[in-house]
Amino acid sequence: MKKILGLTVATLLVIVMVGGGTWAYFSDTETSASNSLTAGTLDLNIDSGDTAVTTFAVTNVVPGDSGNGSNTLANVGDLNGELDIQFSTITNIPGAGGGEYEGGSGELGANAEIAVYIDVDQSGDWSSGDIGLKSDDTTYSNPTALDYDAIDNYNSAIWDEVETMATSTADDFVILWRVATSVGNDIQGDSVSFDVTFTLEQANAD
Amino acid sequence: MKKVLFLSVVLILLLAAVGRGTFAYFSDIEDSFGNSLTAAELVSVTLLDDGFEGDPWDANWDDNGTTNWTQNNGQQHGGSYAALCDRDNNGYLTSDDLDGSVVDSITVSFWFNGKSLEAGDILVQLYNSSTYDTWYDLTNYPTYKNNAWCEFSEEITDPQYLISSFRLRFDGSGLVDKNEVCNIDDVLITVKQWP
Repeated sequence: MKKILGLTVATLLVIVMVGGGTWAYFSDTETSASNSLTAGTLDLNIDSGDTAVTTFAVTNVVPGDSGNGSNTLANVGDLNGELDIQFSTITNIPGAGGGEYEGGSGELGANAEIAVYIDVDQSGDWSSGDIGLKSDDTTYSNPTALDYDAIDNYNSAIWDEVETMATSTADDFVILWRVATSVGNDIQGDSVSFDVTFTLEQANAD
Repeated sequence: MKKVLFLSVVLILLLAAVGRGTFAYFSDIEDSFGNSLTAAELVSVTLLDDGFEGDPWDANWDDNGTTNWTQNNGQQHGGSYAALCDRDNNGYLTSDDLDGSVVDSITVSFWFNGKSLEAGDILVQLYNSSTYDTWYDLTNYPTYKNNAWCEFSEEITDPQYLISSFRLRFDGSGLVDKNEVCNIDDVLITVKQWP
């Protein structure tokens, strides 16, 4: 019994000694507080809003006419984004007035031409640094002359990663159109129409 | 069974991976819709509408040479008068210059009444900016009947005549025999042009 008691006391002493040795070291504590993640925003505006707009809608077009339409695209989010642009299918509607040259399948899209570009510096004209969009889905730049092609040839055209739009920057999307004087009577009363979709994507999204 | 289960799992994982890849990135889309061009239709514009009723009766036919034709109130298609050519009043009846330079086509129509005409007696001619070309011999025109009002109506699309000095001329120089008479009335010259 004395032996057991002696061992118990000895064990307790060892524990006390070891514990006392540990508590004797220096120590200091700091805190990393309020660690968080906040998602950025990617927000494209067209003409200062998020509502679909019309770039141009012109009636009573005759041979020799020309014109243009434009929209302002702005990255109003707080992330840079890559701009993709896509044309819809081109829709031709024949004139329905019953005139001598009306009917057929609608020939205006084959005869009216457009040139499309991003007016990066918003100078109002085709200038250095602007980005031309060809009907074959490729891009080009000034001083290459603006590339006009028949509207029909822009059918479902896609330009991927046309440019990187930094946050708080804006560019103008411009479409110039023209109808040559040599165009014949076949276009009388015809209409051609299409939509354009602009997508601002997170960098390296595809 | 295990093989089917394995393939199903692989397919689900693949779809999940692709789906995550598409939807996980941020993007924002805006649209420009209904962009359109609509062509006009040609409109008809009258350059000359003359029944020879005015005073002077040849006011629209005197700038390019005075005429020997005369105003006739004894036989007309519309109104009270017509332009008459006979052996005593023959020669040319030439319109003033009409602007046909920005048009797609010119339509010429009139009524004529010929009596005892022979081939070549009354010619319809067009000015090509230097000379006159014979367009039709009225005695050969399909509607021609002796001593009856007949309608002439033709469209001109030949560019050599679509000029700023478009002229229509009736050449009655060959009308020299007794009893040969031709009346012209209700001349209408219209063009089709873009508005």
